[in-house]
Amino acid sequence: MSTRPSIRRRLQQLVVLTTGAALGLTCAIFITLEWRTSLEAEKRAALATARITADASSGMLAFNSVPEATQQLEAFAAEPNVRAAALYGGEGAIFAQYRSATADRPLPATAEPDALRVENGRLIVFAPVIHEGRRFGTLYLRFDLQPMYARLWSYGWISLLIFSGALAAAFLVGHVLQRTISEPILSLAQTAQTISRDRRYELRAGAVKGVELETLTGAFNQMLDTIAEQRAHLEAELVERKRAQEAEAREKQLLATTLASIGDGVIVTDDAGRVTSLNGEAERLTGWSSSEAAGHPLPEVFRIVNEETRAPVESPVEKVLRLGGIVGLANHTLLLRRDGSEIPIDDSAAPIRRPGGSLFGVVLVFRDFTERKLAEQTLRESEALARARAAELHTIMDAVPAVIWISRDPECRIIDGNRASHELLRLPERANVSLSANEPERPRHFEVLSEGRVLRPEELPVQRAARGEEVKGLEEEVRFADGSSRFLLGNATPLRDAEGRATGAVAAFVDITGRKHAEQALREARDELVRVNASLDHAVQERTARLSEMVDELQHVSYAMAHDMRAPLRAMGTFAEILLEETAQHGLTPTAQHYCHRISVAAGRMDQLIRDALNYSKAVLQEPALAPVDLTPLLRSLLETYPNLHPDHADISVEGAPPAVLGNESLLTQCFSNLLGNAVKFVPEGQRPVVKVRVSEAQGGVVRLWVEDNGIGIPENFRDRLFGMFQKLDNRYEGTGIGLAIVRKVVERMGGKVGVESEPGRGSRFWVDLRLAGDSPS
Amino acid sequence: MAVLSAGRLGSQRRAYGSARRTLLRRTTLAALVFVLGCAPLLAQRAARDQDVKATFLFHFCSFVQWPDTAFANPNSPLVIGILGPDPFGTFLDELVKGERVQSRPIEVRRFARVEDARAAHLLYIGNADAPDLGAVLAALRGWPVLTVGESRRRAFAPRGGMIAFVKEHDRLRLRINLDEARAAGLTLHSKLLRLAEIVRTQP
Repeated sequence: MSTRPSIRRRLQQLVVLTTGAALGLTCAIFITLEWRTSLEAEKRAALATARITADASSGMLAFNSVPEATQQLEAFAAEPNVRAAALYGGEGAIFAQYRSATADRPLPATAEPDALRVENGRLIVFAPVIHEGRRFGTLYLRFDLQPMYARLWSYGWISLLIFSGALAAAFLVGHVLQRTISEPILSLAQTAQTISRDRRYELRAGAVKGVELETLTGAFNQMLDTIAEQRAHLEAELVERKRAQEAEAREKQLLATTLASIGDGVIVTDDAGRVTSLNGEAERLTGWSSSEAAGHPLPEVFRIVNEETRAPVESPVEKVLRLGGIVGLANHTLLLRRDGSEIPIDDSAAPIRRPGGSLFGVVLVFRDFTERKLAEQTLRESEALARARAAELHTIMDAVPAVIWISRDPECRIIDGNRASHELLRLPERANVSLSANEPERPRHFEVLSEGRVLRPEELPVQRAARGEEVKGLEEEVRFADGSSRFLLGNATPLRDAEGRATGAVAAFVDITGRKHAEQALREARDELVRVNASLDHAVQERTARLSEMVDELQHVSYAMAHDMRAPLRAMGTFAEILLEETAQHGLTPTAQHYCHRISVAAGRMDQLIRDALNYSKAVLQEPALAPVDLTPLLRSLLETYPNLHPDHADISVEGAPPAVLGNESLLTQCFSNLLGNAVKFVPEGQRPVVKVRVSEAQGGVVRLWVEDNGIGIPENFRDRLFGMFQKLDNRYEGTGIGLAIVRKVVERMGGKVGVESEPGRGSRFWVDLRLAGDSPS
Repeated sequence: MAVLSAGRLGSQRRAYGSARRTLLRRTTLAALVFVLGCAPLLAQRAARDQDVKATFLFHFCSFVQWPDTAFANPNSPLVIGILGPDPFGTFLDELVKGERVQSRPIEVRRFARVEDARAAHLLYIGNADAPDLGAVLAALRGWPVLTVGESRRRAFAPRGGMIAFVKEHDRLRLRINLDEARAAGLTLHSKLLRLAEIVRTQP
């Protein structure tokens, strides 16, 4: 680069040479023109001079006036340019002559034909001397052109001077001006050099002025862009190619070892379908060794038939050669080995192509299908099972009345749902229901609210669950664009991968719109009720007061009635006994006596019934005054008072000391007398009643007393009814069926409870819970 | 000069270009004559003087303008007349043969009587020293005739001759009586006048 002239110097040269050429040419033309013009002028002047002189000389020649002629010629001494002059007579001989002091040449001896010519730097004129058309001789003049040449030379020198000056100026101007062109170009060159040397293709040439240079720079930069792009492309390709080569080398290595150790049989053929080589497995499967098989047509080595029809199957290699593509073998293919045994195989064949695309062989890959067939069968079964399970799941999902949503991505771009969900959300089946779906898929005809607020997509239960949150019992409202709503209640649970990260979510919601509506209706009904209640309150109070009055009246009436009924009963009993005593003396028939006896008994029972009823109504009606009662003396007086409780009838023992309880003495007496009375009554015939009264430890301010007997017990199915009115266990035993009802009532009036445990045939255990005296309610 | 004078000026009428060879030959011949014949030189000299004068007469025709009245018509010849003895012999006749002056042919006529000579336009008076010169000139006065003569006493021009040949230092010169020429209505060219000595008629 440095040996050749740089653009800078070239431009400089260009400017200088152009200027020089132009100037040189101009000067040359100028000088030439000047020379010619001067010469012409000289010639004209010479001719004029010659004519004048010749004309003036005609008389002299005509009349032989040599002195005058000589004198005339000698006048040329005043004209230094005229070096010599002569007049020749009609015969051509010299008539008169003049030679200047510097004349260096002789005159022509005789006249010559008329002429005007330059000879040896001198202008020579031969002019005729004529008067009135008559020629008298010839004038010869010789002019010196030296002054003209001197002037031309001076012009030359001046031109040279101007030329040199102009060249110098051109050099300087060019030096300045060439920068505007050369510098961008040099800059470009510099850039290009830097780029080519350092391979820095990201460099770009700077901005420049001038259309062409801009274009050049633009083109250059564009070229650089292209180069950079191509370079990147090439580098990428190179890397790719290198990788590919490495991969190829690796693959080759791999292939070599793979082919040797591969579990599949591999047969390579040439383009005519002749076997080239077999790998170990192929040798094993076909029974041919690679060297034996080489050169044989493939069908000889690789004989295959259809498993079912046993018809020969077209060799896949032929098919490849025919079709030019990769072919698989039909199923149910059997390989007939060299020893005659058969193996089910699975194979495929592919063409080997040269880079140009032309075929040069076929690779056939096949394998023993025996095991694989089994595996495939298993796989097919398990797949079918999985499909069935999936179908089941799908069916379950669709069958479930709940709404189910599944998302398999944490952002819930896609949420799948069962049929119920799509029906609920009014979307076609398989549509994406996600409100956080990508814009075009996102449904817009509904929004989801919870607690009266519209939920943002990330606040939705599935989305929350997909971020790993467990959502339970969420109630939400799906509000549609048409203003209708559906209410849902349900849970959402994250789906997690093996590391426990949330990868999606499953949500199940039930449609509680009905319930919601019912609640709404209920609320409305309740409000209505409250309103009605308010209006009814007064009437109810009135009626209650009246009713209470009536009840009181009725109670008093019934009490009075019951009380008053006893007097006639007692009269009936008394008179029946009297009748018996009387008749015993006066011989009444036994039948009559029996009737009298029965009247007496019936009256007694009636009386007892009324008494019990009175007691019961007392227990019901009277508001008992509660006070601490010591149970020990109460029980003792009971045992002493009631004849059926006397030791001659029964063994009654009290274990432990019952504490003082909060109650009413008469009610307690009634309670325990009934319990003890029952205990001694319901014993099998001929058995002595054994009764124990036990006190359990007090607990929570309550003490439990047990009355245990050895009686007939109570069947389980009767126990619930035991404490009802007029319930009698056994008609064999006398009673009104009111006793235990009274017990329960009086215990309840004292704030206690009563109950029974029993084992039929072995006795019963009645218990009574009573509040402790020191524990009266505040 | 002598050589040149020996040359025949009459041959000038020939085309210059074609005469070159002839001219060369003549020059050579003249040189030979000069070198070989120094003796006959003097003898020939007188004859040559006459030739020069004849040539002068012929040349006068070109340097003098006659009034139109001097000619009968535009093509009338210009007559060179010789009155008295003729010193030119046939030389003059040959010299002017075929020549024209301003398209006029030139004719040489010899006159014996002056009255006849009035027809001439240029009249060489051969016997200028004759005593009757005054009468001759007087006879011609008033006629457009250019009178040329030669007097040994140089009295031709002062006596009223228009152009006189004068021999000076071996050189033939002219004396012109311009007044007489003008009186005759003739116009002499300045080129002629420049070479001549102008004289006046002496009473």
